[in-house]
Amino acid sequence: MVVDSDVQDNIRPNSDHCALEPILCPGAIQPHGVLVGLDAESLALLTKSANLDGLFPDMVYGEIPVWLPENVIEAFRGLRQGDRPEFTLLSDIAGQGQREIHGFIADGVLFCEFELAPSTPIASDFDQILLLVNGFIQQIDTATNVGALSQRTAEAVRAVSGFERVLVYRFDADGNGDVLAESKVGDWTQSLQGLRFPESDIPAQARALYRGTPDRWIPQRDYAPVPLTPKLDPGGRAFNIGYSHFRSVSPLHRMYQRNIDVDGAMSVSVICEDKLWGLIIGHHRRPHRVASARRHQVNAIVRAFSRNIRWLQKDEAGNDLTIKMHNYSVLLCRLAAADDFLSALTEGNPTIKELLPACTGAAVLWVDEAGPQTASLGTVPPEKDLLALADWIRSNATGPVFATDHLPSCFPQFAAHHAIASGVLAGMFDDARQPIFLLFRPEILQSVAWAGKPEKLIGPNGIPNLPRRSFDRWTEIKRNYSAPWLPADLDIAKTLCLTVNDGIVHQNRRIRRLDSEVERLSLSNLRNRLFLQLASDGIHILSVDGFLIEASDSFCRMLGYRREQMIGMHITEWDANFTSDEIAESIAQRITKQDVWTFETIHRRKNGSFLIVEVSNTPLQLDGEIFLYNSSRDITERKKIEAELRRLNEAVRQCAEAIIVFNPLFIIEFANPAFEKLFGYSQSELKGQNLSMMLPEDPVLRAENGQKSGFFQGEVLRRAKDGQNIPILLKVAPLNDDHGTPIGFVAAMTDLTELKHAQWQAESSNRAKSGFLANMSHELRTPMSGIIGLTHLLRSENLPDQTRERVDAIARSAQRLLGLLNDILDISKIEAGKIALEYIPFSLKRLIEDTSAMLRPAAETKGLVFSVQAAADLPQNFAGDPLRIGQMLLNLIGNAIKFTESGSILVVVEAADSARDSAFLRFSVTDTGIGLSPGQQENLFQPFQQADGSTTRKYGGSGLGLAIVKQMAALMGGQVGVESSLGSGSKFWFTLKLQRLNDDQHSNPIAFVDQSRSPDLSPLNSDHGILRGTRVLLAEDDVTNQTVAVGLLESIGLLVDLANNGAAAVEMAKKGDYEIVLMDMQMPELDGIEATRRIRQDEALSHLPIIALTANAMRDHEAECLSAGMNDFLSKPFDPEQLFAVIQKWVTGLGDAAEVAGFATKKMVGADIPLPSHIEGLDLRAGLRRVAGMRGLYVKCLRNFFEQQQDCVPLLRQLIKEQAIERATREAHTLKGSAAMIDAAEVAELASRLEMALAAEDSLSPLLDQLEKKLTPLLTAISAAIRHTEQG
Amino acid sequence: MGAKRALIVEDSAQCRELLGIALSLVGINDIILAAHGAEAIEKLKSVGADLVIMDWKMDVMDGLECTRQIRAGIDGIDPHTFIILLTGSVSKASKAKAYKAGVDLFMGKPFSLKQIHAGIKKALNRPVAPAQ
Repeated sequence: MVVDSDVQDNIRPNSDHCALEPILCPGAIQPHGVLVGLDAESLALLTKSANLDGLFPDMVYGEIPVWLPENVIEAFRGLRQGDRPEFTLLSDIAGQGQREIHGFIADGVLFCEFELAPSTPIASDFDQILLLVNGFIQQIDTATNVGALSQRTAEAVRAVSGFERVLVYRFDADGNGDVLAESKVGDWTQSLQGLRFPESDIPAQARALYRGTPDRWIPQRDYAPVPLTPKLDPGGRAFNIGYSHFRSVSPLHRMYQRNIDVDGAMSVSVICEDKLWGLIIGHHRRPHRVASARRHQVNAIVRAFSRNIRWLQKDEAGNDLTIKMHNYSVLLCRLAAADDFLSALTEGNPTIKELLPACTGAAVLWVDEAGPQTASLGTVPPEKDLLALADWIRSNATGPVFATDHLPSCFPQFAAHHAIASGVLAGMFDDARQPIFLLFRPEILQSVAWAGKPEKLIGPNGIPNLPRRSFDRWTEIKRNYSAPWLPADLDIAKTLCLTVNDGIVHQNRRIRRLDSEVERLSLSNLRNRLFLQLASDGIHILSVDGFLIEASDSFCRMLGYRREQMIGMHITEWDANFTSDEIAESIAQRITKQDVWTFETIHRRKNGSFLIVEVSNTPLQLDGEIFLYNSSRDITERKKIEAELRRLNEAVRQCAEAIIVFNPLFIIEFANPAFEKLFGYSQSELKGQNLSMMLPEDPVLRAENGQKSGFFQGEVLRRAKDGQNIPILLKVAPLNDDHGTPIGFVAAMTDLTELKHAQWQAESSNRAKSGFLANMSHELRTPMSGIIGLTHLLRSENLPDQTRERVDAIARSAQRLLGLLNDILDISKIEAGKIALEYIPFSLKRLIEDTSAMLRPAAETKGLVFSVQAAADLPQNFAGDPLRIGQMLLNLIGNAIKFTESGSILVVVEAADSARDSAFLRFSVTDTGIGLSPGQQENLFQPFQQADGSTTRKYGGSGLGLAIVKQMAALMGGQVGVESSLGSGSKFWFTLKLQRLNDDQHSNPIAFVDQSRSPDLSPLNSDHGILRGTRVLLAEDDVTNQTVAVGLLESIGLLVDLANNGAAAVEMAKKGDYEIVLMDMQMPELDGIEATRRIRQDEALSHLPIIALTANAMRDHEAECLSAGMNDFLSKPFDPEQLFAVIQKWVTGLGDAAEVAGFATKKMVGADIPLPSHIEGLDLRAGLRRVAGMRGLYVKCLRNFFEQQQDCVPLLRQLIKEQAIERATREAHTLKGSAAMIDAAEVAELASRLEMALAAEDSLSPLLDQLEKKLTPLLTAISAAIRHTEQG
Repeated sequence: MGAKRALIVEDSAQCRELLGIALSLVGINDIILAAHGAEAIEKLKSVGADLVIMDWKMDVMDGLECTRQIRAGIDGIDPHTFIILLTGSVSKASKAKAYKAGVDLFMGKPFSLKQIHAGIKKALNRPVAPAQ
């Protein structure tokens, strides 16, 4: 039903009956909770809910309740200190189990309460609820308007709480409530959707409480309240339990609930920007209790709702505001520019009418000399009514802005105009003319659906009909109301007024003040004068005869005068550029023109200094007289900068280096002529192009050009216009603006074409030199091999003394020449980049010991004290190239010995820096020798340099040693250096970076290999007696070398067969029973590599040691030899000792140890065990080979044989005599095997024959005799050898 | 390569010792001994082994018969057990006979440490037999 009525009075009842209710202090709580009130200081019991007696009958007033949990007492402390007004926590209550405890403080009393029934344990479906709530919150977060947001929230809260009806209820500014959304079960027909509830339903007191407490839950409407005992505090006041969750609900409220057929209920506050925006209300027709877990989730949903409401409202308000602000600012700009702001309000677009939306009329009123003036826009009431309204507003308004949306009820004279002016907004300006503007809004008929007819709220005698029984929809139409003026509307109007007051009006006042001041100059245009004062440029006004009429402060400051000094000066007094005639002439021209003329000139300051200025000149007609209006701008700085820029530009243009500037996107902005010349592009072809056009086309070359950002310097290739790639040295630096923001790069390029060419030539000639040296040294080694070998042979002969001396001299010369050759080969290999460093495990300690041992005798022979220092904690196990390191150390020690006549030589090895994986080692050799002057030290590490020429004459040497050390150190990541002074010794050092190994890695057999393969570093037994009789096959085609090798080998008793070429070597190896093959690499028909491969094809020869002999000392060559199946490698010319050592190593099985003896004990290896060079009846070398050269093991085998077989012959005789043929056969068989194992060939053979004879029942006696004849001396010899080893 | 067990079936003490050393040099220290083939079968049945080094000529049961029984997988013995056969008779016929019986490696006596080492290495590096 629609009722047309004025309900002004009815919607705001005079007396608020709900408001009188003691809702904070009801003196009772609902029965599902218990509550105690405690003294804030002592926690003494002040009051309790009566139902608490059932739980704790023994509670005593004035004492702390014994059941009060510790954490609650702790939390109370926080309340007392005012940290927060309340808390909720989980705690164990004696005898009750875990409870959610709620505590709060009010009026100095601490309260603590909890639900009587156990807090529902975390619901079994809790996870599901969480998921559900999460989903709801997501939906809520995505709502785009308040309506949708409210509806989703109502549904979400109903689903989680289980209430039959959930409402979203919003308060308006007056406290009336609108139901924005409703979610309810289908069978509840009563709908509250869209209804408005009067303010009195939830009065201010209740709203304040709702603002302070987040939620209220009433499981049951018709409960018996549980009283607090006592009800009053010691001061006689009722306890304030407004914060209590169980606070008893007012009887009125319960009646209200009954009337709308609601039993269980809840309300959760929606707080938005610290204000109570509204409530989420739950209704149930039966009692309804919600578990605490779900209550928390409902709160979470409501919080999400609050958050979104805030954003949405801000959004909507923001859009609205944007439009208003736009009109406002446009209007303001116009006002600022207008001559008369009053007319500006009503002219142009927008006008004041458009300032705020929904205004249909506007008027501006003011008073001037002619009386009241009115300017109006749109539909407005007659002028007399406007004037009356203006008067009424002026006398009633308290600020610059006044507004009402129901003007007819406030100002009855306007009742007749309600259709066009139910709302008015007035703004007043602070001005003598008393200006006021009025904005009118028309009437809007408002429809409101009330919950129940509002006039029935008050009964006939003024007693309220509360609570209302009827909630039927009742629609009211409001009259005489316009659309409301929003706070933002008022703000805008207010700001407009204040701005105009502050700005334009203010300026007007100032203009008036200035007006009187300049009256004598007849400058009636006030704003010009004002502008003159405010401008930063030097404004000055000249009369047509060149005198200064007026000048701005800035102009006076510019020239250094006080204003009063300046006025009246003639232009020639400050212009230093033009003559007075020129000035007069130009003034004469100018006064006929209308335009603005700009020119540059020079002003002279009072102090005589000059400034360059740019002057704008306009003729100005004031009151019929002509003046010249000038504005001077100081451009001295600008001129300076311009000049500087010109100079810089010229410098860059003239620079011989190619220079280019490009932006951060690599777009070319500038290139100088040198750049154009170098690359063949013209400036116009370059500008705007991407730098990538200059990159080489070849993708490989391009890739190297990748670096482009920030600072860069390096050699790159850039493509010229003709497609040539030009090598350049490129230097790039970033360009930044004043704020450090990159604005581009500058690159300078130097053409390297010629340099590169020269470099290439130098490098290639160097390569040729290195290649030549390498070849030469190789070619020289072959004849050297002959000289050294033959000399060695000669020396072993019986020679007359004089001849011997000469032979010795030849030997020394040959050795020196060989040393020189080796050095040249080394250095040229390094320079040619052909050196390959080894990477094998080695022991540092062993390396130092071996190296020292080699030169110690030489030092001591010279009478020098030779000592070595190495820290005990020096890491020991490394991987690297021990041979090279030894060579470097030998070099330094050798030099030290050479240049020291007396005193000492100290070798120090230290770890400069040691990490887990690697170490930086420093080797130094300090001597007390002749020392070096600083000049001598300079080129010491360059090839072919010695301290000076005389050094070579006096001490010899190639001058390559230190250069090699330096190059080697560099290859191994280290450095070299010398500290010395002339006459007081030198300290030479080098550093190396080496990879460390742990102990496990060191036990790797490779380490064993290395050391056994370095005869020059491990002074092996130089007694080669054991080699006597070794059957050697020598494959060598060169007659001289044959002579040398055979001579050397035979000199120590080896049996040598000679093969003249590879093919012969293969044949002979297959036929003969050789223990070792020495194989030359370069032979006609079949070279050493191929011959070796063929020999290895024969399975029986798979273990025959084959040693390569070659004049080629390159290491890759060595690798080729080993992979072909050779066992070792010896480069010619070799030291005889080296040859013997390598033969011994392989014929006594030591060469195999590396492969076999992985876990061998030191005792087993027995390297130091002295063995006789020969044992009659045994092949000693074969026996050693059988056990991989392990002497300890070999001796053990011999001992076993001796112990097992010493009574063998008598036993055999006995058995044969007893006809125990089978056992005798077995004994013979065992003897055969045992003898074979120790390589007692004859005994084994005899045992074998005996075994066969036993089977054939042949005559045995002669065989036994023969056996005895061989075995007995063998056993004796073995026994002696064993004794010998034990003594040794 | 886990810990391995080797069975040596050899009546010569000297050979046994050298074999033991060769095994220990590659890290095999779990070594069991048998005097002849029958005993070897018993040992393999009771404790098993990864590698068998066996003489050919033995009393009670010779190496070839023992090899055949191992290969037949009697009494749960792993038929893929690696077998090195040692013998003084190194003729081609003997070698063929031995391989036919199923030995993995035929090795003449007297042997060197290096040879037996190579044989053991071969046994250890043998690819794992596919599952039956």
